[in-house]
Amino acid sequence: MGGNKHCDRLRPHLEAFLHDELKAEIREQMAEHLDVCEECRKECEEMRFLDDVLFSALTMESSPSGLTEEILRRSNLIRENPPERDWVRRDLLPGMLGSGLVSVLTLLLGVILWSGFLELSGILDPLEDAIIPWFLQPVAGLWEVPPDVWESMGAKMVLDALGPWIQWVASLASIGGVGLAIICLMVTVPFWWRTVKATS
Amino acid sequence: MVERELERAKNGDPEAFSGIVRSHQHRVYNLALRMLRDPDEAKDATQDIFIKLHSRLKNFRHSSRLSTWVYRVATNHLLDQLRRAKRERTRRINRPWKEVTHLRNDPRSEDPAVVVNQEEVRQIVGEAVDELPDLYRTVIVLHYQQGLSYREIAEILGVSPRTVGTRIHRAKARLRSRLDPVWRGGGIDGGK
Repeated sequence: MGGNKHCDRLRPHLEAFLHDELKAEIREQMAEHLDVCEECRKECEEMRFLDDVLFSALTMESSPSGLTEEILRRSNLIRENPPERDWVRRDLLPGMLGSGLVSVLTLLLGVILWSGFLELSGILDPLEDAIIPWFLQPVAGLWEVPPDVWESMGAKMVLDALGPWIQWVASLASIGGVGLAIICLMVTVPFWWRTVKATS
Repeated sequence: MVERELERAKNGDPEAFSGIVRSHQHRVYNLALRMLRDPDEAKDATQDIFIKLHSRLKNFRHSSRLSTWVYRVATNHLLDQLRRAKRERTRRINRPWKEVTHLRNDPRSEDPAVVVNQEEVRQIVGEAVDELPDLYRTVIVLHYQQGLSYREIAEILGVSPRTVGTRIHRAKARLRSRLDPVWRGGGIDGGK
C-alpha cells in the first residue's frame, strides 16, 4: 500500500491519468503510486475497463444516406430566398410598446405627483416644465398633489425637521418619480434583448 | 487549405460550404443520435445545426478552430432541444433500462458461463449512457465517441478542463453503479 495520504491526494486524478490529461509531474507520482498501492491499482484497472467498454460501445454509426445533399439543398434554398428579417419581432411588439408606454406615463405621473412636494420644499423642479409636454400641462394640475395636501400629510413638519438636509432630501424626492420610471424601463429590457437576439 | 475553404464559404461559395458539411456531418449526426436517441430527430437536428452554421458562418471569428465552433453550435443546439423537449414533457426520459433489468432477472445471468455478445454489451452500455443527465452524457459522448480531449471539450462547453474531468468522473461513477450488477452477474468480464 502506498498509504492513505497518497491515495486521498492522487485518487481524484486517476481519471485524468487514464486519459493522459495529467501534467508530467503528477503523472510521474501517480505511476509510482500505482506501482505500490494495490487498492488504487485495482481502482485504476476498473476505470480502464469501463473506458474500454465505453470506447467500444460508443462507436460512430453511418449517417443516413442523402443527409449531406439534404443539408446543401436547404442551405441553397435559404441562400437563394433569404428570409425577410424584421427589425422588430412582431409577436413581441405589443409587450414592448405597452411597457414603453407604461414607462413614459410613470415618468410623467412621478414628476407631476412630486411637483407639489418640491414646491413645498421650496425647490420647484426646474425639469418639470421641460419634462411634461405642453399638451399635458393644463391637466397636470388635476393629478398634482398640491402643496397644502403635502403639508396636511405632515410633509412640512418633516421638511422643517430635516433642516440642513432639506436640499438633499428634496433632490432625492425629485429622483422618486424618475426612479419609478427607470424601474419600468428596466422591465422593458428583456423584451428588447429578446428582440435583438431573435433578429441578429 | 481549411482556412481558404472557410473564407470562400464565408463569402457565399456553395462548394466550399459543401466541403465543410461533408467533413463534419458524420460527427455531428452521431453526436445528435447519441444525445437525442432517435435517428429521425438526429437527422433533423443535424440539418438544423448545419443551417444554423450556414447562417452564422459570417460571424465566425477564427478565435477557435472550425471543428470546435461546429461542435459548440451543435452541442448548444442539442442541449437547447433537449431542454425544450423536457419542458414540453414529450421526451421519454427515465425510460426503463429494460435490457439490464432483463439480464438481471434472467437466471442465466447468474451463470458465469453466459457470455453476453458484443452487440448486447454495446446496447447495454449505450442505454446506460442514454440515461445519464444531459450534461454528463454530453461530455461522455464528446470524449468517448468523438474522441475529443478535455481541453477541446472545455472549449466547446465554455468550462474549464477540470470541470470536464469532474463531469466525466461523475458520469462514470453513475455508469459503474448501473453496469456493476451486469458484469458482476457474469454478463461481462470486468476483469474482477
